[in-house]
Amino acid sequence: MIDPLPHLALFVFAALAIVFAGSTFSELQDAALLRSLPKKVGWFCLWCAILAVVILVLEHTVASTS
Amino acid sequence: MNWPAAQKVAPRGDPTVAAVLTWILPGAGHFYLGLPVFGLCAFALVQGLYWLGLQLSDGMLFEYLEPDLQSSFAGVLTPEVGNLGALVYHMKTFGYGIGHMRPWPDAMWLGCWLTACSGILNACLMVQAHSDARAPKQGPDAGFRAIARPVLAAWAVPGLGHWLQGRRLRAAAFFVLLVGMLVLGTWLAGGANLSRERHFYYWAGQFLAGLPGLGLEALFGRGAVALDRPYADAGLDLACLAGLLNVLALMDVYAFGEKRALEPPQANPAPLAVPATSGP
Repeated sequence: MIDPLPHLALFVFAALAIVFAGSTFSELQDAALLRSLPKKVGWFCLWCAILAVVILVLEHTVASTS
Repeated sequence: MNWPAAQKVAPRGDPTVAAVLTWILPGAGHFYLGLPVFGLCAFALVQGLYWLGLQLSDGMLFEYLEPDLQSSFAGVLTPEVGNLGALVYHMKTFGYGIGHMRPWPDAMWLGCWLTACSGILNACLMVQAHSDARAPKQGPDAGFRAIARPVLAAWAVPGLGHWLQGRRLRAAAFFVLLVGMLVLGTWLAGGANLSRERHFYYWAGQFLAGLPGLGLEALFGRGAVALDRPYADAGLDLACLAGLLNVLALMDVYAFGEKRALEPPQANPAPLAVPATSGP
């Protein structure tokens, strides 16, 4: 069984860095960039969660051999 | 794209030609642009670094790769690809060695650093050639010639390029996030991520985060892996991700410098001093 808390913390840290670096092109003002960051990270995590659920469902249906 | 500032005067040359020439042979792009002294200095520096790296590593860099990874295009995902001519020479002359394992030279790690730095330096030289080509042939350069310096700084230390452009908040955020990821990844992996021999391609990604990665490698990169690290893979991923995200930072620095150079000069600049008015 994996330890979920460190995995979650590492994921959130990586998500924060990815979203921040990816947002630099859309937000030219530093203050606006930082202000919009929590919302963007939230959306990023939500879509990652949806993707994870889709992968899990596919893994237990299409890819399952049992 | 609109080119208000650059359209009025003839540029030095074609930016794509200048960049591609530099990629193939460092300095060639600047010869094409009529800047031979700069081109010659750039050639000596970039190729000198690669040559020194080859001497120190005996050209054994690609012998780090497992036999199943030794393909014709193995060098494409390395920092050395920034100096294409030297990489092709390296592959043609030294290739994958003599077919069996042999001891690494003492300064192998330094040789690998130098060849990788040569590739990154030449990539920045390509940026310089690309922006130099758009600078006007005569008169002030409209800021084009200053675009590449912050890009090199942004590679050297994540956030430094933004700092030099006056974007302090963004610089601090990039530094904390990317260097933080690098340090955290190194801690989780117990320093195993810092070895080019163990993780050839992850190291290449991590190298894009610049000097902090090299500093960590100098301090912790050559120890034996003594403990079982449950999060070693996560550490490896984080450290590599830090380097890859720094590429976005480099692009942001370049785009900002380009935007500033393309802005039209102010038509009516504010007067430096208010003229004195005579009394009644």
